[in-house]
Amino acid sequence: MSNSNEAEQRRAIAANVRQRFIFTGVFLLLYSTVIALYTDAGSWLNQPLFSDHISGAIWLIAGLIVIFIAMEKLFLSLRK
Amino acid sequence: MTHSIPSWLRAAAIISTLLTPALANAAGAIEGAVERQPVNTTAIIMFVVFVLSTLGISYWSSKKTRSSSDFYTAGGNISGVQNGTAIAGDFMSAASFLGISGLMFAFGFDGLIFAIGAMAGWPMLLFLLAKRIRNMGSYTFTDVVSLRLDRTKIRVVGIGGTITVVVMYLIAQMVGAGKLIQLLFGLPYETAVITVGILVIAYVTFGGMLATTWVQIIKAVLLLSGATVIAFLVMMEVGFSFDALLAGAAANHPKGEAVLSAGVLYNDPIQVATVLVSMAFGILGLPHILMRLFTVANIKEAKRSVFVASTLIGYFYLALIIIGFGTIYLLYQNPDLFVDGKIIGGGNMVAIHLANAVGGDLLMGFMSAVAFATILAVVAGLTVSGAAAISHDLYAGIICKGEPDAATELRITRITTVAIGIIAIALGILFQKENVAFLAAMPMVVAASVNFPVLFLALFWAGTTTRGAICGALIGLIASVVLIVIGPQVWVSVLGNEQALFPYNYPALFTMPIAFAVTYLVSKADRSERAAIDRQNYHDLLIRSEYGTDQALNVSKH
Repeated sequence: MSNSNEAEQRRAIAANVRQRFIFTGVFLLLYSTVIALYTDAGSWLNQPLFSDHISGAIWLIAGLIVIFIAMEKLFLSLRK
Repeated sequence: MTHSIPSWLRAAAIISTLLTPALANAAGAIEGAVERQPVNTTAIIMFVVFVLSTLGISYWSSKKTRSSSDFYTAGGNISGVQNGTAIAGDFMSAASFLGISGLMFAFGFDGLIFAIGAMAGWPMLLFLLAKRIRNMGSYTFTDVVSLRLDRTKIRVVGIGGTITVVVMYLIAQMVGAGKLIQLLFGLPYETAVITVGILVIAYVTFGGMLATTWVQIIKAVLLLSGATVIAFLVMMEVGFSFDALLAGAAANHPKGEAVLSAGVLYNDPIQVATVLVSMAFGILGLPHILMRLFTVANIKEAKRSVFVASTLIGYFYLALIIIGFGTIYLLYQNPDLFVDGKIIGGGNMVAIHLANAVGGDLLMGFMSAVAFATILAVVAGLTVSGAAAISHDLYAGIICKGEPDAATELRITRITTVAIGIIAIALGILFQKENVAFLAAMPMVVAASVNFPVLFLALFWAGTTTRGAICGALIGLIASVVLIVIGPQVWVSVLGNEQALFPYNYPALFTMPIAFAVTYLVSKADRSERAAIDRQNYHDLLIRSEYGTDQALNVSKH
């Protein structure tokens, strides 16, 4: 393998790894918002949101499940 | 509505108690000696149909299982959708359904922490590991790390991690299954455990991964169907208004509106973080889950597998939100379900009560049969993984130095499967009277603190050395065991002390970083000859893991 090919391959791999870590980082950031529900900073999510009884916390959990699946779909689409 | 505690109800309580300690502690498990109860005919008929059909599949699979590759990975011929459904079937347990709904019944929203935790490992598996693992290994996750680290030594670590997780899972599953069948069929405990063991041996010995996959697929479909029907019927009760469901739940629960938000069960963010970290990262180190990535033909199908599994599991937990709040809304208003202020059969039984409330005997019997199917599916998956660790990693990889006779390896695999089945039966009988609840937390913590750090660093950090990986795994294992022993589940619940020395049930938040740090520091300090080889190997591993050359796929066939 020539040096230029190898360098190109390395750059492609580095880009792939970067993308993986970006997705993982965003995921972990979103995931950690669950912990915020138990802190003062996230206490506002324990009030009803957009309805009379559905709390922000319930929206958050349901939303995260949907977002995680959507992130996977996006990840797969980007790496086709 | 009956006032006595039906056998299936007590049985399901036991199963969820044994499989989900945190849930059991929170929701209140049944206590006292198990007594044989009258049987639930509907559940038995459904279970017998399940067993007969899966045994038929095992017979069919046995005709196709002719090599080690067939046995371990179904020859790589499972499609992505099938494999994803099987992964979901392997992972979604009776504990998920019964335990989380029980926790929600008692504490409302806080039960959902376990649902989001169980969902969270899958995206990371796809983003970080799926492609690289599929490209690098052939049968087990140990194959992956042994490509760049000292093959013999790191296989010993991999075997240790796998067997530790498998054995702990097996004990919890077998004890729960034994008591469940004892109650439903009126069989003695020992006979019940032996029955489960023999069924699993039959599935796996003859049908290998192919039979196991179909058992898991059928179970996943049954569980998802049951959960869907219950959620639909609950929503029908409230005119398909989720807001009305929550209003009813808040009105009926003793804690009122508080159950609709965080803070009834947990008020310590670190406690919540320990659960979330253990569950999410534990999934990334579960050998029987990682092994399923090798059962498909290519990278595309492997990634599709994870996506399908993730989608099904996500759907299941969304349905569980409705089911959980449905239990609060529909069960608290029925005084017939309570004796001395406590729900009949314990808090973990509420999903079965709910099935009865919205679907009558038929749905209730169906869900009880699904609980059985779940046990068999999970134990079968664990048995394949354990057999692969012994026959492939130990016999073929270490004893035969990667060059075993194919027929002998397959024969040893089958013998190992029978041996694991017998050991599982023995452990089930041995631990019959023990409080084994802590064993359900350990696999996730050990997987997160032993298997995952080694796997991740071997795949992503060039500096990882064999010595570093061994030290990291060993310290991760020791830390996990010590912190669980001095934690509430063992120190207080088993040993009877007043207060735990360590306050958390799921210590992976602490043990996983320790394992990472030790691996890093020891690898950095490692100046051995082998360390230089390990570092040099990384470049080849990187190329192979990204591009999946034929060479890569053939490297660790043995």
